[in-house]
Amino acid sequence: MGVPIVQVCSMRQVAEMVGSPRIVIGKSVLHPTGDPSLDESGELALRRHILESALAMLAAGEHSNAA
Amino acid sequence: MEPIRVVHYLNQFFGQLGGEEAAGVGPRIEAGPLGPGRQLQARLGPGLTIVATAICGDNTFADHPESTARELSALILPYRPDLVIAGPAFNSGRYGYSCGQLCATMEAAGIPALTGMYEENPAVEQFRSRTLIVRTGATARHTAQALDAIAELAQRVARGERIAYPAQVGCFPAGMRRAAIREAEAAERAVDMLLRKLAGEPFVSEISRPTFTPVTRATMRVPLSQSTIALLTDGGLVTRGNPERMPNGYTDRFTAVSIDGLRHFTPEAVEVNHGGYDTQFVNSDVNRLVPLDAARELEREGLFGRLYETVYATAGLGMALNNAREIGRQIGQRLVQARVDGAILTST
Repeated sequence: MGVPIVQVCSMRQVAEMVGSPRIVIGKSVLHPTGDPSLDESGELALRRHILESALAMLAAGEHSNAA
Repeated sequence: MEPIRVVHYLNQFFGQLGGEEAAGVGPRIEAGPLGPGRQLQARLGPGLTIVATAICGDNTFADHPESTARELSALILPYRPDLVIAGPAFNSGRYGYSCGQLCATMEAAGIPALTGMYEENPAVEQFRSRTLIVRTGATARHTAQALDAIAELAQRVARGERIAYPAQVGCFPAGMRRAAIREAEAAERAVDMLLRKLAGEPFVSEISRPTFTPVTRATMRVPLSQSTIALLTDGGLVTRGNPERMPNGYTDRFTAVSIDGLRHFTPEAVEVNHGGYDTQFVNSDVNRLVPLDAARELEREGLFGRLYETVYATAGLGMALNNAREIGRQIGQRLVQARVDGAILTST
């Protein structure tokens, strides 16, 4: 049995091309789980949101979703 | 002239030991051809003789590939084969794996080997660089054509012919590049290709593009609230000072960064070493690459059970595909051993 995985990335087409099983769109290629234009609490909230999407997808076995 | 000695390999089913209930039988060998080996012998003619048939259950081989291949070698080598033929395995996954593994083992021991499979058999991708694999149909309905092709190739290999371009003799390409001299220079060939393309005529590109098969989706075995979750990244995370000496690109290795007891990443603990993107934003706050601070919060709140104590990371820049696959295989193996239930990979 394998380990279910979700990929947080910005280049969806690349992830789809290589057959990635679950995809969450991150903030940027340069900072997938951050945003330098936000303040500290804003960035933390962004990260929580991305992680919650990813975890929900792992648990549900969903296919793809934008964060 | 003494006939060329061939040893044939079959699984339990084609070796007439039984079906799924016999898939656990161990390696054995019998003199002469057996089952489809008799039809193969008829096609090989008097110059090539199947001196023995090796048989093993598919499950035995799949569960212990290396030791089974060694045991089969020990049974096969006393027959002094000039050539080993396995299968054909058609689209059967475990049988294909067995045939590929045995042929690769024989080739490594200096004995030419070949097998046959359907293009969607996962073992094609795994073994095509290490042995000749004849293209066959998907099921045993295509046995006659498969054996024709295998026998023809066996004759050529047995005559000592070196198969430089497997794709030209009905096999899957080995995925190797060979230096060769072409009549026309590159510009002429490129323009010729373009003209053919514009005219809607067929042409063959000189660049082979990698093919990817979709990853089979695993499912979570426990509720999220009880799960162990691992964080992974291809964005170049290393322990501060890069003690594992991971290159910042074109790498064949990965790092194991401990997050045991860490509530969030600090520049004192870790840094980012990646030559493929501007790392200033993630280096000023590494949680922007691997969301450790938020993951710890969600862990405390009980959304999932526990965060796995190691982050595995590599630098995904200009990475050779086979290195990427091997890194993925090794990380996957460690996660399985550690009983991790799910993983979140952040990619730059």
